[in-house]
Amino acid sequence: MFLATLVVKLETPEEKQTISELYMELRFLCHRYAMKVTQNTTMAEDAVHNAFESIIKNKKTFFALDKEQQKSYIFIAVKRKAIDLMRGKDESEKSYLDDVPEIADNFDIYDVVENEESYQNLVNHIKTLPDIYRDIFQEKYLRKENRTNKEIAKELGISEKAVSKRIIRAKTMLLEKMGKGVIYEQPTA
Amino acid sequence: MNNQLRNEVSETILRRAIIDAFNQDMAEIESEPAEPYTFSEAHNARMRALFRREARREAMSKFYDKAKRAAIIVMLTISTLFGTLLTDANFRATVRDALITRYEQFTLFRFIGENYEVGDSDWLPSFIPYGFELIETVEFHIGRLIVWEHPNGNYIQFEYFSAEGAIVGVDNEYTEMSFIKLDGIEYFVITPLAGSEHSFQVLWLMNGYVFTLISSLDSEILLEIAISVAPIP
Repeated sequence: MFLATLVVKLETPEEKQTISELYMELRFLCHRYAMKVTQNTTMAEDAVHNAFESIIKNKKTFFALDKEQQKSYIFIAVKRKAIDLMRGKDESEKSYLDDVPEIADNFDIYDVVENEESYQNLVNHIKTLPDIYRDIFQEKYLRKENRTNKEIAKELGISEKAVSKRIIRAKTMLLEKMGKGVIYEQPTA
Repeated sequence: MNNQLRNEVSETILRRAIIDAFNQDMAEIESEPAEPYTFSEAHNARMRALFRREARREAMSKFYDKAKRAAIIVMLTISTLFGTLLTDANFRATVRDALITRYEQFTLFRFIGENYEVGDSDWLPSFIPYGFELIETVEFHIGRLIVWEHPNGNYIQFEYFSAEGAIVGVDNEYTEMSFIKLDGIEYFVITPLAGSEHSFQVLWLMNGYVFTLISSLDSEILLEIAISVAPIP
């Protein structure tokens, strides 16, 4: 095979600058965000690195987003990687999550959210969900409209069924917190 | 309100609440007084390596894309142009000097003349400017491609292959070509015109091999690299 001697640009300048520029712009915030989960600076650094590694792997998806969505994507990725690192550390959380029952997928909060106050209650309950459920909610609802379970499964490296289960369990727990089901208590150690 | 509509409204409220919960969290973190933090050197090195690897992947992918396009335009495959001639022992025996044919957009270098005794040597420049890191080596059955990269984005691509019947096409639309003879070897120097996106290139024939250097560095440095090319002992 004989090759033409041609010019090669090192990279597409826009792409490399965007990901590395975003890293330079957001790295301290990303680290603080990861610290909320890991409480450990080294682990938080690992989470930031792993997050940007996964962003580069999925850069086609990433560059299809607008600027604000890209930032959300980055923070969701950082938190996800931080949770992954912690989950590797703490097996007891895993069994707790498996014990959460699944109410039928009929998520109806229509008559619970009546005004601004009850809406803010909903927001606060979301904030207190276990990380794994907040994470799946963010993957499903934060990134773009009508994101399918299949797309989420592919990115997280889990089955579509697992995605569906987590979403249903997350909704179940949310309903319980809002008083629309049996209050589920975390088992004591 | 029917159930389907209630569910859709519930989903919409949930989506909005999740977005607001996320934004409130981010606002809280951003408003917290930030403790000064210095990333560890290990982390910084990992991030630099990560972005470098990505840049290299992009570069190699673009190189092969462009090489394929050029091959189609100028028919660089030896079998297409010289298929029958290669079977001619007389032709192979008389491969000697370079014949330069200047076409509208491409300069084709065809190496004809005496039969070269091509040895089994591997070739390498003994001089590479400080700071460059070897990032890629690609073996072909008749040669090799080696790429070095500098953290500042500069790169050097060194390639060589057997000269027998070789054809190299150089895009000359936005370049200037000159020749310089050093230590008995003639180097073709290709310089990009101002405003052109092309790289600097040096091409030469030596010991039965065609050598090319492509780089973002200027031709003076490339020539220094070129004259340092020697067989690996």
